[in-house]
Amino acid sequence: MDGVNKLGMRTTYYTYLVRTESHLPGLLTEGTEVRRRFSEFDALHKLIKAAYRGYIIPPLPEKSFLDAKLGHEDFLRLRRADLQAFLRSIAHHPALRESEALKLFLLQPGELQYNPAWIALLHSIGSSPDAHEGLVSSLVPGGLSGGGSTTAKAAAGFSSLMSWVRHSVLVPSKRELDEDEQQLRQAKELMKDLERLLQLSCESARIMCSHMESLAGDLYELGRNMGMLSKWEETLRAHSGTYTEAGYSASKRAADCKQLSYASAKQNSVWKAAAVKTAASLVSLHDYYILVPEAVNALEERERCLDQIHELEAELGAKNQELSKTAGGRGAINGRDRRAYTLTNSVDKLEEQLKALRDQYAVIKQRNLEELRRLHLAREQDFRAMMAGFAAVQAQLLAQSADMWRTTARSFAGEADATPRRLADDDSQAED
Amino acid sequence: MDPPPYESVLQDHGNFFAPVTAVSKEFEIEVCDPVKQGEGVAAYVSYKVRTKTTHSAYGSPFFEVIRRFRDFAWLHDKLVEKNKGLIVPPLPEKSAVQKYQMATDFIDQRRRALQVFVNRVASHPVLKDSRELQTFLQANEEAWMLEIAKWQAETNAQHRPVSAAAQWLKSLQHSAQSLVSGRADEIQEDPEYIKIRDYVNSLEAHLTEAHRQAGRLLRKEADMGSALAEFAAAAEALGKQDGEGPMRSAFGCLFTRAGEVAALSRSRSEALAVEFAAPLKEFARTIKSVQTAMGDRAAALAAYSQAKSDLDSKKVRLAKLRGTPGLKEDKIAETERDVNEADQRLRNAKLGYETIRDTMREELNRFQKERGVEMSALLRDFALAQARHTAEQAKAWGELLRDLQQAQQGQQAAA
Repeated sequence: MDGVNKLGMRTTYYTYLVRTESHLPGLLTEGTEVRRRFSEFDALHKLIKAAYRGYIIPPLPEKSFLDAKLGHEDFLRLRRADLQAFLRSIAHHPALRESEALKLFLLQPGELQYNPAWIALLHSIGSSPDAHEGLVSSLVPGGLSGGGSTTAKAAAGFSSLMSWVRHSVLVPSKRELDEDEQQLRQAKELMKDLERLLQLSCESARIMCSHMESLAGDLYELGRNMGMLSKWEETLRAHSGTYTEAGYSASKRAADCKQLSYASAKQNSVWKAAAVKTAASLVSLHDYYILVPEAVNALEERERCLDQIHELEAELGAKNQELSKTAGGRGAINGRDRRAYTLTNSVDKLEEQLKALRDQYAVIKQRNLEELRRLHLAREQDFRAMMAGFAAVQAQLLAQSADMWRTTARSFAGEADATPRRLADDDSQAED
Repeated sequence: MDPPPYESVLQDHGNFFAPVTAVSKEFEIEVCDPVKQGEGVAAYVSYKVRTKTTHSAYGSPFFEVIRRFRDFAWLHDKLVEKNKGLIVPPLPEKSAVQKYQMATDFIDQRRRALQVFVNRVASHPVLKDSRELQTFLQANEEAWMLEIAKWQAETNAQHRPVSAAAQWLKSLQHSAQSLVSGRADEIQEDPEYIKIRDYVNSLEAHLTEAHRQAGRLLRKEADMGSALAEFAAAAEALGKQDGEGPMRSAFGCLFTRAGEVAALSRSRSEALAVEFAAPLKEFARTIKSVQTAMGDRAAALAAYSQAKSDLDSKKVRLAKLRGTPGLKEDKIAETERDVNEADQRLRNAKLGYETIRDTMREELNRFQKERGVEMSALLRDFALAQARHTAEQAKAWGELLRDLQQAQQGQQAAA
């Protein structure tokens, strides 16, 4: 499956041309083209995130349009590349590619904001930017806010009640986490650590490449200076006369300086290419650097789910206690004990919600485990390829540079007797 | 006799008495063993100067003395004073600030530069026979202290001789004057020489720039080395995260090889400083010596010119006096004496100028040829060394590739 982005221009915002070819059973197409703007990519990202909790969702590029350093064109070029990478990684993910939202995104012509199916999807995750509330209501049809009171104010109060309940004395403050859960929490710490290490690696890779660039610049300057020196020696030769002793030595020196000047100019291009190729060979570092925080997010989804379970359990516990305190206890339906009746209803609802949450938790945990394994394998493969690529690039470029220097050395008009021994040494070294 | 190529002058002989190049040399001088002496403001560094020579004027073939920078300066200044028109090899900079810091790098750099200096003096066709060199190389402590004391007294007592620059300025004034007075018999400088003079001046600027660039280049090599080392460390940390897994060993390989390459870069940077940057610097300094000699020549020419116009004006006065009737005899005699003195002065000035002129013609030829050869050798060696260095790095990376491939094959075999 392939999504290809291209840039198109509109009056106040930019749209991107998305071309898809696919042989996937759910997504069969020979080449559909649609136009999407950034907000639609953003919505797709949100939808997938909501529907696939526990999976590592590829990240979207930054929303902000303002980046003073980049020119307009450069910004668009980078964004286009990022958006393409985003779509491609979703398409490569065994689970995410099944997404309904993705299908709509890739195949539906016309603007998505007028598409009823799309609107329905968005609606189901709620228009509220608060992820917590929105996601919770997507899992439980009634929504927790429906279980308590219906006014918004009460909903706010409910959240604070929930956090009080979590910390309250009624509930044992330290939940025993089972072994799986502990392992996964450790995995999260490792991920965070990995993120930090990747950042360090990216930064030092960047510094390395910038050094190569500036070395290229220095070689260029050296070449220029040698060129000027050569011209000056030429002038002297012209003044002295080519066949005088002074003229002859001047012309030799002019030739030498010119050789070095050419050599430096060629070396300059080699090192410039080196900088670019090295950066390209290490791009995996950056790719994982932006992916690892998403892995952390995926793991945190599970933790959030577990927290919700704990909150509900606590609330259930409290309600049950209240129930046992009332006169009739459970099952009393006589009108005298309206309170017991209400409480029993709440308890039943809560137990339903709890069951749904527990099921969801199991799903998310399973996804987490799968993803961690998938990530680990992919990382191994990608990093190994990256290192081999990096080493190959360095070896090739340096060998090229060495060859050029050797050629330069041979071309110098030097003393015939000077160091024939040393030249022979070099040749034997080169054969190693 | 061909001057020694730069490297042989600079090489630290493992075995001092082993022959260095095919060309047998009259002198082999080593400056070594720097030792800090004294304390605080009066601190200085002493060096051992070991000479091996076949020169007939020297009593024995081997001897050793202890000298400090000031002593080298004595040798240089004396030679300049006594050999107008010769291109005396340059002395490294005085640099008061760095001396106080006495960093090992600086001291080693200076030691090398002093060794180059004294060997160049000893290979100069005229200077090698000088008495000053012999005194410097051979005189024992007492004789030497006497010599130094005498020199210091001289330089303190007499007011400094007008510097070459000031003299040249005077000659400018003089030329301007004669331009105004329209003298057609102004003594002109040889046009060939003028070309060379302009060439030398321009060369100095280029060389100084080349030296700066060499400095930048070697700093850049060092920076690259450290950047690579840091990258390797970051990669290793990344690998360690994998526990005992395959990525750890793979990143470990990267770390090791990158470390090798980084170490190569560092040593290359140091080598560049010695092999490329220092010679360029010395070359630039030598140009200054050439410019000093040219200044002396200009001064001599000015003196000659002045003496001539002086004589001419005196002759005119004499002719006038002779033409005037009824003048006292002794007045004419006095003027005749003046004329004869001026004539004598003119002859001296002319001789002085012509000596310098002829000396310099030789010197400039020698200088150009010698430096041409050395410059070629320097550039060629630079290119060769760069080739060697990059080839070594390429090899290290190739080996990393092999390591990675082997590790992968090993894994696949085990799986």
